Amino acid sequence: MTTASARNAGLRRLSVLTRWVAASAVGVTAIFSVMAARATAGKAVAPTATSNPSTSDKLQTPADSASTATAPTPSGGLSQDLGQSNAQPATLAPPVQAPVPSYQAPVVVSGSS
Amino acid sequence: MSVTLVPAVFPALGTTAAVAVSDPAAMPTALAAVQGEIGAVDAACSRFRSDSELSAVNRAAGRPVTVSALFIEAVDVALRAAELTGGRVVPTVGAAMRVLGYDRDFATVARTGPASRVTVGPVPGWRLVRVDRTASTINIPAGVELDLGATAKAWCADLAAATAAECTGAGVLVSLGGDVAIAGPAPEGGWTVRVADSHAAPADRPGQTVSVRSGGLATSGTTVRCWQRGDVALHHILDPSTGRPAATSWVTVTVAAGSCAEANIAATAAIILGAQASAWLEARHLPARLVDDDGAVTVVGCWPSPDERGPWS
Repeated sequence: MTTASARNAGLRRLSVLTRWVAASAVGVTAIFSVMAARATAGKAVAPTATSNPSTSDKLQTPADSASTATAPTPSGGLSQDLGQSNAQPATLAPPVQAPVPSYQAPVVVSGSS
Repeated sequence: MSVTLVPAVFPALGTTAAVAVSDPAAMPTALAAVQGEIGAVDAACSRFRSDSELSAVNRAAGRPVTVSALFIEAVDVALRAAELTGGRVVPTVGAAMRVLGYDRDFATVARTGPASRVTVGPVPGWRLVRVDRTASTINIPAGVELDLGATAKAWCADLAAATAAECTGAGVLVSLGGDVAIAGPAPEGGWTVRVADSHAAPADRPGQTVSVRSGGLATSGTTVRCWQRGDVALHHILDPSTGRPAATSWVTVTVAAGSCAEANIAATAAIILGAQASAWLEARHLPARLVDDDGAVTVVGCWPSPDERGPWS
C-alpha cells in the first residue's frame, strides 16, 4: 500500500468516524430533549387561544377528537375568530386537595339544578 | 373548636343559593357581598331578562355591542370552557336551547307538552364570538345566540365566595344550585358537602358526603332541568355537534377542581362525553364521581370510594 492510499484509507475511516459521532450526538440530544420535556411537562408553554387564535370556525366533535365537523355559518357569514380568552393555564386545574370522606353532617348538597 | 355551620339559603339565578361562613359573626357581611355579586352577574348574564347585557348582545347579533368588564369576563370563562373541552361546552347554544323549549325561566317551562316539530343541527362554532377588549365590545354573527348557562352560575359562585372571604377574612362557602365554591380559611374538618342527584335533595337521601377545603365542587346532571314534548325527553345539556340534548349514560357527574367554574366545565363535558368521560377526567387529574342511569357509581382519580362512608353517607 502506498503512502497516498494509506492516507486516503485513513481519511475514509476518519470520515466514517466523524459521521458516527455526529449521528450519535444528534441522537443523544434528542433523547435528552425528550427526557427534559417529560420532566417539565407541567410547565411547558402550550398553545392557547391567546397565543394562537385560529381563524377556523370548525367545531371539534365529542365523538372523535381527531375529526372535525364544520358548524354552519350563520347568516351574516362572519367567520373570523377574535374570541381569544385572557392568558390562563391551558388546562383545567385539579383541586389542591382531593375530597375526603366526611363523618360530619353536610353543610350543603351538591347536585343537579 | 368545631362550629355548626348553618348556611343562609335564598332563591337566586333561577335556583337556590346557600352561603356558609366559618365565623358566624361574619355572616351578614358575607351575605351582602354574595348577594351583590349574584345581582351583578344576573343583570349581565341572564338569558331571561330583557335588560341584561346578554340579551342586548343577542338582539344586536351582527353588530358590536359595548358591554361591561364583568360581562366580558363571563364570556371569557365560557370561551375558555369551549377551548378546554375541545368545543364540547360552548356558549353558542342559545338558539338551540330556545328552539327545544327552554326559552324562559325554567320554573315556568312546562314539564310536559304536546309533540312539536323543530329543526336542530350542529350549533354555530364558538370561535365566531368576537371579543374586543380594547373597545369593550362583543359581536356575534346574525343567527347566533349566546347562552352562558353552562358556566356563569359556577363562575358567579367563585366570584361571590372570593369577594365574601375578602370582605370578612373568614372562610366562605357559596353554593349556587349545587355548584359549590370555597374561599378563605376552611373550618376545622373542611367543608362537608353531600353529593346527590339533585341539589335540593335532603341530607338523608342516597349519596355520599365528602369534605373539601378549597377550590370548587360541581355537579351536572340530566334529571332535574328536564322536560318532555310528546314522547321525547329533553334536558338542558346540549351536545354542540348535534344541537340536541346529549345522549349520555350518566345521570349525574360531580367533579372537584381548582375552582367551581372549572369543576362545572368538567362535569358538563363529562355528561356530553358519555363513555369517554372517565378517561377524559382521569387524564386531567380531576377527582370525580359519575352515576349512570342504573344508579351504578364510578369514581375517578382521588375521589373517595363509595364504600368509604361516614354516618351521614
